Amino acid sequence: MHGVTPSVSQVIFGLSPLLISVSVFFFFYDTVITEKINRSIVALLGAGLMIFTGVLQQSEAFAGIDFNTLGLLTGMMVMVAITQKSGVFQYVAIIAAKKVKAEPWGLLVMLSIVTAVFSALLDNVTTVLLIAPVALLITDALRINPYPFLFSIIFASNIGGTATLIGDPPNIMIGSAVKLTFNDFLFNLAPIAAVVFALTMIPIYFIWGRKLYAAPEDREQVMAFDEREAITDVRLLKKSLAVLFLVIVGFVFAHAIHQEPGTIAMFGGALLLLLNAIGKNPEEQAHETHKVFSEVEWITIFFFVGLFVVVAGIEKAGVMDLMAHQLIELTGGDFATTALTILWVSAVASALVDNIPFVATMIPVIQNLAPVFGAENLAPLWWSLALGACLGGNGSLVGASANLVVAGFAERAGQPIRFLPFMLMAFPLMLASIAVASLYLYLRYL
Amino acid sequence: MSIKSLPIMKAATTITPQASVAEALKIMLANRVNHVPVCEGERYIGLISVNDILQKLLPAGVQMPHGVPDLKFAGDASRLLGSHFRHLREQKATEILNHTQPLEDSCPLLEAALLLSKSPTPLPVVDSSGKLLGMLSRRGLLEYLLNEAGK
Repeated sequence: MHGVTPSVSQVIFGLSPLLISVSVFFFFYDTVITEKINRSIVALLGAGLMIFTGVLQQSEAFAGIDFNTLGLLTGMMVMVAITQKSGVFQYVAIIAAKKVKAEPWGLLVMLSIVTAVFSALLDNVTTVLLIAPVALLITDALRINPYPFLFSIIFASNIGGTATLIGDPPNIMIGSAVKLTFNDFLFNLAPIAAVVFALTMIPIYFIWGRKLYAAPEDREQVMAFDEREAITDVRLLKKSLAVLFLVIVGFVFAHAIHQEPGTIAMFGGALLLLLNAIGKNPEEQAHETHKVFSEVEWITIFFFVGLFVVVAGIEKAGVMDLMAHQLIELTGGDFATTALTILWVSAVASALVDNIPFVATMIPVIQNLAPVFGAENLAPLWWSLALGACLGGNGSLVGASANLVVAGFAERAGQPIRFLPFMLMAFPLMLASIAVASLYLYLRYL
Repeated sequence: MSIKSLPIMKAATTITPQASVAEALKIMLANRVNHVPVCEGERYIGLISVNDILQKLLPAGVQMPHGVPDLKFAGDASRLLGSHFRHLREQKATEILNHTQPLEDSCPLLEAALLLSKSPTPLPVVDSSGKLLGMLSRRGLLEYLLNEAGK
């Protein structure tokens, strides 16, 4: 379990490790939820407290940090930081808009598909950072309300992210902790993600889609966009796409070549950094490389570092074991009930709080269910957790970081997405997607 | 010695917060200046510059951090610009003014030179009650120094 080597905790003043670790954990969770203090700071403080109070030794804390997850996130962020300079994302969005002759409903569907596909292959925040500004520009040129577009982009990013190992942090963490492969995620989650995506478009059509109208002259204006002009650096584009392609192929065959996704992503990042630096003098290389590294989201990375240590602390104190027993008592030890409970609880929890700490907490809980159901039978529970945590992110504005990024854009564009109105639409839609996921789990696995 | 003793360029005209953006623009064009102070009575509340107006004409998707980095692909998009302009010109001056920090008339000369060197526009000068006395430009300050050096 995260490779924590058992040793007896020497907690200060002879207090119970359970009490101390749970106190630290609740302080941590509470501060993360209220967002009064930046979450990376809270996580690192929490991690420090776990060690200073004697719950964990430093070596155990380090063993609890999942460097595979960190490598995968950092590597992908490095590659995206370089790739986005080429203008390829604007290119794809413009092509998509022109394919549907800049007709608003078609445009909404196309931009949602583009968002979903990119979210499946890149991280969601990056995807919406790239797509939302282009969507705002196009809706501006069409003189139509951007709100339905931004709403759909949020949903598409979270649904698309569900589909693959690398699409969403919960999947990265689950895959890494349980050694599930890229293909496992693709075969088990992509089909249901596609279904949920298609079904989600139906209510969006009836609420907004059918009323969207753009004047022919305004559509002409978008049709006059020249996607080739959006590509700012053709050579960089070719290098980036080649490396991204290799990395995805690497993910697909990761299991066969006995490598972890973290190594593959980090190596891809290094390779693209090399291609980006080659032929430049040392000063330019340092400048370019520094710029790329500065675009890595260090807040997220350090949040993960602290979080892993905090979770290792409560795990060592036996909290996860306790929670697993509670869960079994609640579900009466029935496998199907357990899976569905995990799905629905994860969904509601992920809509209301950050799904990353929730999933980090749930992973050892589910691992502790192995003695009850058998370690080889746990897979459907992992899919329940992944589906609940990823799709649950759609339930409210704070459900996923990507939602907040889109809301930030909307605010600056003078079309603010407010917490309650968003939730009134999004929460029922999210619950519907979980109902569909329940059916899928039931029919396929339970 | 403070900027009190400088020949401060008089503010040509001021506008009220209720004035429209179109009126502000007309005044700037007529007076051949790039900025006009907005005053409530005699009290300074902000500046409007031609650059503020130009920036507001751009699509929101480019104005924000992480926005679309360039617009070469979008062509002229003259309908977009036109529709933004028609919307903008009716807006009140208060909605687009920038809160450029004014200089107090007791501000020392060197500090005024530093602030002017960092400011894209001339700086409004106010007395301790916030009443607008005039505008101090880089040219005004340099002209003063040139004359002093000649003495």
